[in-house]
Formats: sequence, structure tokens, C-alpha cells
Amino acid sequence: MKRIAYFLLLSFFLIFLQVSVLPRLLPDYFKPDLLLILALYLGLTATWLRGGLFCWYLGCLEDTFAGNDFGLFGIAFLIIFLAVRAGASRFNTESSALLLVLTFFATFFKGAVLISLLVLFSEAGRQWPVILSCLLPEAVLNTFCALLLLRFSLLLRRRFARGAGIPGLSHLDRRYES
Amino acid sequence: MLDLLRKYRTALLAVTLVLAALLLYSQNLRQGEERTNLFEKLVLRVTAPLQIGVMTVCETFSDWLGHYLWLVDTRKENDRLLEENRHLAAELSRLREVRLTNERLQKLLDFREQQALSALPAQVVTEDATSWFRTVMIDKGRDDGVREGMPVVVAEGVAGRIIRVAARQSRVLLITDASSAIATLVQRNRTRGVCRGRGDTLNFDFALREKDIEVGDLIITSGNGGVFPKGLPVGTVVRVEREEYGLFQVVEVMPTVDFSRLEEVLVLLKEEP
Repeated sequence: MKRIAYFLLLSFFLIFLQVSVLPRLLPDYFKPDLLLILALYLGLTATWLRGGLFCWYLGCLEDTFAGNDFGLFGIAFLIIFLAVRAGASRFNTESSALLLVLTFFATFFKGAVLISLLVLFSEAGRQWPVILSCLLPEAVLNTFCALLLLRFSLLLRRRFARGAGIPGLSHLDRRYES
Repeated sequence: MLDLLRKYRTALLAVTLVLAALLLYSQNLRQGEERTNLFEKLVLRVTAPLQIGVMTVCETFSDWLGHYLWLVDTRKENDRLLEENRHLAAELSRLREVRLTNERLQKLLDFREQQALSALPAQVVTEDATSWFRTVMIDKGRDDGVREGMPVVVAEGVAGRIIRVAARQSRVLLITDASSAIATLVQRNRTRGVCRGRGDTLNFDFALREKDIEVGDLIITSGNGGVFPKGLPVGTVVRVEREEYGLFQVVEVMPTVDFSRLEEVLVLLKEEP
């Protein structure tokens, strides 16, 4: 219960950063997807049911602040979670570098899922050129943000909960500890 | 049977979740009277005070930062002049901001008086959460009389239309979003077409090849779509391409509104039936 409450708070904090703070610091139409990073982290660490439901919620939260059709990011995040969760057993989920690589490629995957859903279900099939043009910069930005979040979470752990491990990332590479 | 369910538990769970998500999405695709659902209303209600707070803090911080940098520059010259300069510069900067705001609001006021419909001024609070869609959040909602489908304009022209409404906030779909389409016409020769968003610019679609459209022509709303009143500026033609074959010509339009500097907008309120 406590963990769910933490995740809810964290999701609100990240979406708040994404829509209210970062657009003031970054150039126009150059926005990271912080909730995607959280969804990927869940894909590596959470159970099927809990992680799936929470990623669906994360997508719906993003839908509240993005785009025209509610539920679009909900499905996209859920599919991304399921894909990562299905492959998680083949990866070394304790490696933080995995999260960075996943973030980069998951941005493209998210773009592909969104384009497919828009073309199949919505009238906004013309959205794909806009999405394609933003994919690469967003993937780079998301990866950079994932790195910053990793460093920040480690800093927090060192200062406030030295003994506690971050689930799934308890044996982080030493290079992020410096 | 139970063994089978147990064996494929994970796959069944994944399929159920995806189906449920698809169901929710398709349910929201239907154009009903009320498109803002309970989840969105709840989230917007919770985040509204935070967003307005951040907007105020950011403005104060950028104001303070500007003054501080000015102070560092002038200190090199003279301590006495620094103090005087800082105050004057701060005052000048404040007055300039007041003048610019005044000009913007005056333009909006003039524009509002020209409109037959009553207009509600609103401030842009946040932008879209992603770089793929073009929406903004404004600080007026259902409590202020805003309803879904209402047109949103600025003095320069059409900005968009309301797509989601919460108690104190609303979301505006900008005309540059790919899912936006407006019934428009060329002001000079009344050629009709549909302006569709392309991210940063617009396409003037369905203009027949033989129609005379030139770079620099002003595109205005035709009033046919039932959303925007007739005669509002939408954009200016920046490119016209007529291929050898084909029924229509390709017309690119640059919006008259600078969406990167959207701060205050007017929501054109419709009369309640």
C-alpha cells in the first residue's frame, strides 16, 4: 500500500515536472516523457498485474495532459510494459545501463504503437509525420532524463536512506555511485 | 479447465488488460456531449492549484534572475550607479512588461468588442505533455461557463477549440494539431477549403487545381463548421504547388497566431439553449 502511494505521488510529481516546469526550460516542442521512464522501470521490476494496472494508469495520466483522445497513451504504456515485462527475464534487470538503453528504444516503440493506434482507430492518421519528426530528439532527451533520474534517485538514497535499496536497481553500476 | 487457466494465466491477464484499455480508448473516441471523464476531472482538479502556483513562482523567479544579472553587470562600473541603475532597470523592465501586457490585453479587448458573441479572457497555464500533440491548458473551466467545442481565439486570429473541461481548467486543441480541421476560405476570392494542422503549419485541403490561390493570400474561417464564427483570420498562404495531374492543389498556410508565445486567449462563449 505504501509503495502504491509512493508511486502515485511520484507519478504526479513527474507529470507536474513534464507539463509545468520543463516546458519553461526547454525549447518549444522538445519535451521528455518522464512517465515512460517510470513505466519502463515498472516493466523491469513489478509483477504482471500490479505493473500492468499501474502503467495503464500512467498512460491515462499522460492522456489527461496530452493529445485529443483519452486512453491512447493508456494502451501505449500498457503495451510497452507488457513487452518489457515479457523480455525482462532475459535481461540483467539489476543493470542501470539497461534502463537507459530501454528508454532510448522504448521511445521509438511508443511512437510506433501510437502511430498504429491513431491510424487504426482515430481520424488523426495524419499525426504520424509529426510523431516521426520528433522521435529521435525525444529518444535522446528521454535517455538523458533517465540518466538524471537515476543519479538523482541514488543521491536521495545516499542522503536519506543509505541502507535501503531501490527495488530492481539495488546493485547499480558503480559509475553512477560517484 | 482450471489447469488451463492457471497455465495461461499471464497471457490471459495481458490480453484482458489490453482489451480493457482498448475498450476505454474506443469509448472515449465516440463524440458525445461530455468527453471529459471523471478521471480527467479529478486529476485536473488536483493539479490546477499546483500549476497556477508554478506559473506564478516561475514568473517571479525569472523576474528576480533578470534583476540579479543586471546587478552583476553594473557592479563593475560603479556601486552608486549600480543601485540607481538596478532600480531604474527593474522599474523599466516592470513597466515594459506592464505595457506589453496592456497592449496584448487592449488588442484582445478591441477584438472582443468586435465579436457579437461574449468572450471570456483566459490565461494559458501549461502546454501539452508531449512534443507530438498541440494542446494547451487554460485557467478557465466549467465554473466559468466554458463548454467543450467552444472556439478559442486571440487578437491575431483563431487559436483552437475546447476539447476537455474540468471545473477550473480546460484543454484547448490548437489548430496546428494534426487532428484539427477548420472550414475556411481564401479571403480574396472566397475559395473554400479545410485547414488541417501539420504540427507547426497548416494545410489548406480540397482547393481545386484551377482555383487562383497565391502566396500571401489570407485564409479566414468560413463559419460552416459550426464551431468558429465567420471571418476570423486563420493564416497566410506561404506555398502553393500545382502538380500536372490531380484534382487539388497543395497549399501550405502559416498560422497568423504565434503559438510559441500564446499567453492570453479569449474563449467565445455560446448562448446556452
